[in-house]
Amino acid sequence: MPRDRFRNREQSRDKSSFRERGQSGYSGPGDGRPSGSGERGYSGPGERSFSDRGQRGSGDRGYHGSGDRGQRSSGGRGFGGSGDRRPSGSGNSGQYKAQYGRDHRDFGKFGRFAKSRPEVEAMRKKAFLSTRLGITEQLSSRDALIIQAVNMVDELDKSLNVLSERLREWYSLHFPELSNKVREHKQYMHIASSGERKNIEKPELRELIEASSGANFEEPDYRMMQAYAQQILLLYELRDETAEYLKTLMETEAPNITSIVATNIGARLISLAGGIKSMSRMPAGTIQLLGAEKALFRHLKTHAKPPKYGILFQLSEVNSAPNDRRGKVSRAVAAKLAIASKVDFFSKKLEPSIKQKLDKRLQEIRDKE
Amino acid sequence: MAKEHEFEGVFIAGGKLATKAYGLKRVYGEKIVDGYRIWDPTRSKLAAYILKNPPFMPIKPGSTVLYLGASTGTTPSHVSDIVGEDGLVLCVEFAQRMMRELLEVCADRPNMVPILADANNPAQYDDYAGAGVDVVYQDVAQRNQAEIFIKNIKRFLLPDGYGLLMVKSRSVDVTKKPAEVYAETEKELNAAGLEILDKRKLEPLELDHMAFLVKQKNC
Repeated sequence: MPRDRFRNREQSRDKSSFRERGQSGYSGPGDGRPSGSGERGYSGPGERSFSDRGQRGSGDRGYHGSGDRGQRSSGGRGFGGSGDRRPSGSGNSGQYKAQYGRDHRDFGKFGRFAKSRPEVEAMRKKAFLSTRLGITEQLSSRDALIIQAVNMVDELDKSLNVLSERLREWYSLHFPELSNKVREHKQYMHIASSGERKNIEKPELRELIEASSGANFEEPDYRMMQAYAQQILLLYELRDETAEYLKTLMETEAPNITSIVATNIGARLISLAGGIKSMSRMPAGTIQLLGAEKALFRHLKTHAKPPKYGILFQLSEVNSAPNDRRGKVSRAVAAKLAIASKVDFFSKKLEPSIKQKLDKRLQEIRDKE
Repeated sequence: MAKEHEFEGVFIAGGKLATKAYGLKRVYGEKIVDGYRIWDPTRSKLAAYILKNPPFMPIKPGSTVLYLGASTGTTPSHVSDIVGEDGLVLCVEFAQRMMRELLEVCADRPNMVPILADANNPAQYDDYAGAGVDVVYQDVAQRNQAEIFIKNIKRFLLPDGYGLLMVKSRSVDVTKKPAEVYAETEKELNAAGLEILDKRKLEPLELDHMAFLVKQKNC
């Protein structure tokens, strides 16, 4: 079920700024058109036989014939113009409706879709152009960078763990004692990048090195281990660099969210919400449960206990609170996040009062016993 | 060799449902047998519907189809095969991630038109579908599926046209039983003045899905 929810989110994410063309531009032709034109089918400019009120040509319904105008008036993203040449609705739409029992927007009455090849080609060309523009527009939001960066950091963490574990096993053939001595991956890689154990320049390891029960290999064998250690070390540096980059991104794009929760959690929330825009439109209750979709849907389906927090659990205020108050804390944080994301989306200015009020509230919760 | 299916434009190739490839490119890694693209009913709800023996098939060679929720173009490519070069498939999709792939499918097929727009807001593609369409096909995972479908039918479907709606009960409401969701959908469609010509569940090919084939009353 969470999958469905994600899919929903995917589709509703980033409501594009596709310019919405008002209905007014379209009300003209339908209203004003004499009912006699109903059965005409599509007709090219030349075929239209009755004088159709003013300069209204063939192009008023659909794309045909109005290509050039459309391009100009709707900035290249739509077909057909937004109607400066159309007569404004002449007010007999009620009459039309009475006659046909349907709304004037039922274009079908006026004819089949034009199917001449050049017309379809022209329409496709337009469609491609406007679709590409629309994609570019959707892609050029800066929160997309946040989402990619935070996901990359998460992926790197996972991959680095796997790679480090593997190299530990490998290097342990030569220096088995080191693995237990140095638990931290990055530090371990630093040492392993020296290659053969006698080359390790760490006085505190001297004893261990001399007493090691590891096997001895040839030079090329050490070179391979060394190369991996160095590369993994580089990846660690890249990871830290990415995290740093993410931090600056978050501070400029989402200063208020960042002021309430740590960069990482804030970025993950944005990633789960699908962007600052969609997060700003979420109610606090949804933000509170971001990352708890599985539990939420289990609750909805089987009436299991509802989750109290999703990714917000990573926040120390939440996970260090006593069990019976965690829900309260995460609710308070989510409520402020909902406000913060709105400020971030609309102004990107830091509003210190949000954090202050939250701190006050958290203190209240802590004091109440 | 490929045999003709009872529905025009649909074929049986190697014992499997297929459409005549309009251009020989693969779209989603499907098999191509003698120029016929095998149509996988587990990946396409329309194929699943056809295998369920519906009374007739609204999408025919030459049809103009408004396809809502085109996604990456798996099913639309087969619709494009069926309608052929005299037909037209207007593919509406809102997510840029899907649209990126759909664009490539459309680029190879002169009868497909990509439209990046929200099906909730039909005014956005008046310029493409405004002249009316023969078929409105909808497969969107949205809560208000029926509402979207009705809106688009009212606006674009020709009087003698048909609407085909694939209801995914789980995206309407996970907490309700599929049967309830279908009943509600049916009520909504009826209330909107649509006549339900056929409805059938797509199980076991698609779980919790039901197809509704409708036309407009008093036309």
